[in-house]
Amino acid sequence: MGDWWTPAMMPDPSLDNKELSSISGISMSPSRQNSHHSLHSTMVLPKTSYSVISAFCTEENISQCIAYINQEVCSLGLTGVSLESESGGLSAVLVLNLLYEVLQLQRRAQRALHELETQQLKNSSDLEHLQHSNCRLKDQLEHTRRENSGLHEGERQLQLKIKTLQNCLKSEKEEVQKLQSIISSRATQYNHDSKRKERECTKLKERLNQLLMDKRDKKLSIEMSNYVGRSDGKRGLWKTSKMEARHEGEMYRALLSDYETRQRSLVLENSELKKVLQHMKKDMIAILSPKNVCVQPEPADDSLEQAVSEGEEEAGDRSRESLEQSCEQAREQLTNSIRLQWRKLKSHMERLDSQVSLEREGDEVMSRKEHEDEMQRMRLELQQCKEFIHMQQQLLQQLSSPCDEETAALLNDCYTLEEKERLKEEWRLFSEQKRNFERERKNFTEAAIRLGHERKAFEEDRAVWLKTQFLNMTPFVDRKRPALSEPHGALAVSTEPEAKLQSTPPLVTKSQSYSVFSTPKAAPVKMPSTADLYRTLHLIPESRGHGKCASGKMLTKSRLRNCSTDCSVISLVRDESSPV
Amino acid sequence: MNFSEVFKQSNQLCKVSPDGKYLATCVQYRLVVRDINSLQIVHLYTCLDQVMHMEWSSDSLFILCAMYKRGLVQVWSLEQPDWHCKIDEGSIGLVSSRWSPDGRHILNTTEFNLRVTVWSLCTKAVSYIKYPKACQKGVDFSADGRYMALAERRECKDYISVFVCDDWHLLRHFESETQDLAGLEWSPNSCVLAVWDSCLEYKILLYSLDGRLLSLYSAYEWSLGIKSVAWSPSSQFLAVGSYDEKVRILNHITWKKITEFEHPATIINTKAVVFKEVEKRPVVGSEDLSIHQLTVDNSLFSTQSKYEITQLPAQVPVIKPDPDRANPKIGISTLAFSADNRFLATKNDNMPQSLWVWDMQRLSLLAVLEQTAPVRCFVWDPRRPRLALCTGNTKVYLWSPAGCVSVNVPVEGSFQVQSLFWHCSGSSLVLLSKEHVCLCYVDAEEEK
Repeated sequence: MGDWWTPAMMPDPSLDNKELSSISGISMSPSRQNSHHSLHSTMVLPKTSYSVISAFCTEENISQCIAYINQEVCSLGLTGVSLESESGGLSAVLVLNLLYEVLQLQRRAQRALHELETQQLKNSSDLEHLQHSNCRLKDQLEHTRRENSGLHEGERQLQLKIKTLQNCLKSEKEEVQKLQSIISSRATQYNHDSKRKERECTKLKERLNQLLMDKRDKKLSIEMSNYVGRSDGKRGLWKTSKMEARHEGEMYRALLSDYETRQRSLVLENSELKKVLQHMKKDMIAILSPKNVCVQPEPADDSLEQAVSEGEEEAGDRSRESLEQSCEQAREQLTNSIRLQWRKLKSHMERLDSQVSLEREGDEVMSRKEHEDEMQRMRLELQQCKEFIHMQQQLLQQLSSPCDEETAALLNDCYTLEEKERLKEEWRLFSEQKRNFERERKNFTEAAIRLGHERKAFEEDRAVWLKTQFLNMTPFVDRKRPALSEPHGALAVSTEPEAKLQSTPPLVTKSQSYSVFSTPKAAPVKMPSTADLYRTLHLIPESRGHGKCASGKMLTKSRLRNCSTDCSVISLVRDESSPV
Repeated sequence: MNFSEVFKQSNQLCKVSPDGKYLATCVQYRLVVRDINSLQIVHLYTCLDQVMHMEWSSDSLFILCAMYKRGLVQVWSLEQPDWHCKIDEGSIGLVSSRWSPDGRHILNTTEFNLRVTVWSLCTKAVSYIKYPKACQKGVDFSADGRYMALAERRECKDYISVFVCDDWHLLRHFESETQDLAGLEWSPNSCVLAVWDSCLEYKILLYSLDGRLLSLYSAYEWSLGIKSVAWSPSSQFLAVGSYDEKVRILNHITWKKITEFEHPATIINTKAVVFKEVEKRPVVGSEDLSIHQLTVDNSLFSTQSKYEITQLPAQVPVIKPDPDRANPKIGISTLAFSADNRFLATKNDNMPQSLWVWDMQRLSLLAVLEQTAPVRCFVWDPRRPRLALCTGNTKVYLWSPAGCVSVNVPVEGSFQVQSLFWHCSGSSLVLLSKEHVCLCYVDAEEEK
């Protein structure tokens, strides 16, 4: 088995023409994985790092492989590995660089992929949401449509109803009209009938009367012991034209007397009213005359006023005189004079009103400023007082009930707001710190990783050393010697025997789990193992250690850029070595 | 306030003579005339049948007793108790009989309102007036007794005839502008005749004595109209009560409406006083409950009542009239002016327990009397502004501007006052129960 993995011993021409695509398929077989290891292991995905390489590159097709890789790499936009190294082999540095770049690319791609995935997820969720909302909206639309149709239907029904009602109304109206016409016809009929009946009735009455009169109703009689004298003591008079005239005369006399009494009462009332009127007029004149004197300083009105008043006085006099005269003339004069005087009085009153208001205004002008000032002062004072009172109240409130609910709530709000602000600030600081801390942690992680790599290198060295030691001790030393010298160029080969020894099928999965350990947390756990390593190193302070060291350094460098799987390898090694 | 003893009476026939000296009562077929002061029986007449109607002549010398069923009228003389007169209307029948104002003629209205027969006691003469109209008030004599207005119906038209009562001379005969005349009434000064239409139309017409139409008044159309009409004693106002629960006052110069009095269910007029009758059962102590008390004092069983002044606004109890029945119980059915023209008392039929008194000087509501029972009858004192009313219980109520009193009639047995009227002097009040009569002297108290 050991022979297999040496590059010289495993010519596998069948794999030469293998497509890259087939590599992955092959890589899945564990047996192959275990058996083939080459420098390609660094190039493949960490998961399959152990297995893939064998199929792709063999000793024979290195150049093709390199060319191929160059081509591929170029297509990726990276500087290819120059084949024309002096040694004819590959320059490790270049390859590693390339590897590193490819890895970087890979990582970036991964990240991008991840991002894209998340984006995709997000988008899909968005899409889902949108679909949901779309569905909902559709449902809503459907619902509204249904509602709408329902409403339409209702409307239609209502319209129908209206139509029927209108028809009803029309028919009712017609009915009403018909009934009205019936009523009117009935009324006329009734009137006619009633008149007819009445006529019949009167006819019947007439007839009855006639019959009764004709029958000479014996019963119809008056029995009296003796005649009674008239109440007025006079004798009854014959009905003559003279009597008629007398009745007429009496009637008219009665009417006349009634009218006379009524007239008398009216005259009395009239005279009373006239008296009152005279009195009023007198009063009015009395009231108006002093005003004239007052008004005299006003030259414009004066003459007119005077004239008017004089005219009125005359009119008044005349009317007073004419009171005793005929009614017709007197009335006109009276009403005229009264109207004039009334107008005057009215204007006078208006003037008085305006004067009063003017006076008031003048007074006000005088005092307005003072007034205003005073008002201002008062207002100010009032304001001050109010403020004072308010303040006092507030204080009192604070004193009496420190946590009045509302104010407390308000205050709380204020406080919480402030607190929030502060917390935000703190939060910001905190997040900053966290970020710093994160950064530091990352640094630390990196350092730890580096350390792990270093340790691994150490382990490897140790393993190599131990192996050599062991080989030296065993009888196979001679046989294996050439093999040992050989893998000098192949970096990872040195560890392979151990790995191969240990690697069991579940290892692949284990490696993944180990990759998790490659966190700073895991680092301290591994620290003592390094100490062990040192110890072991101390144990064998051989000359080879230097060379190993150098190689180890190289290794760490390369490993550092590698994935954590290498770490796991290291840890595996350590686990194995720790009991030693 | 004193009460006389109680006398029997039938058919509510009890009248005081116009001169105020006698009181005539009918008990079945007997006519009893008493002296108003002593209440001693002065005369006793026996009629041929149960008397249906009794009336004093204007000069207080004769009494007319009508027996409608028999178509008979008997007249009795106070001066000559032996004198008698019997008028037989014969087979034509009799529905109404009355004195003419001169006290010497009797007007009989025959059945079917066929005619009015005028019998003269002076000459035994008989005259007929044809076509009298059967209506609420078809005949009215003027206050001075000189004229009679008669509503007639001929050729389906209303006519009014004015007769001179002296010799039954037809003074005027004119067509009235009514659809269906319901009544007519002379103004107290005998110069104006108020004529109103039936309740189907609100229309009141005022005719002068000589038949000229003075004025026509109609408050509204298309609704039940006039229910009652009353002249003020001075002829100055004409109060018209109608089915719309209002009283409209017309003046005598322009015959236009001066004002209208509404009868609201809620009285908010702060100037009015609402007197509410409150009944109280007398609290009787056990020591008072002796047999003597029980037998003598019947007031023990009757309730006491007094008036309380209600705070305004006050609610007046209202009944809802049945709209399907004829003559619905709504509107102003009775109106009466006080003798001095100052007050008007009204009764609204759908507020039967309330009597409204209006001040005619201020033309506003003065008082409302809210009784515990429907008001049966109310009459003004002919001399003073004093109103007496009864509600069919054992009490008499008096209102004057000074206030209200309720008086229990303190007679043996219960005396439920069905109607009442004043003696012409205003000194006493005649109270009528279903079968009894009692005099109530109110002047004495007034003088105190």
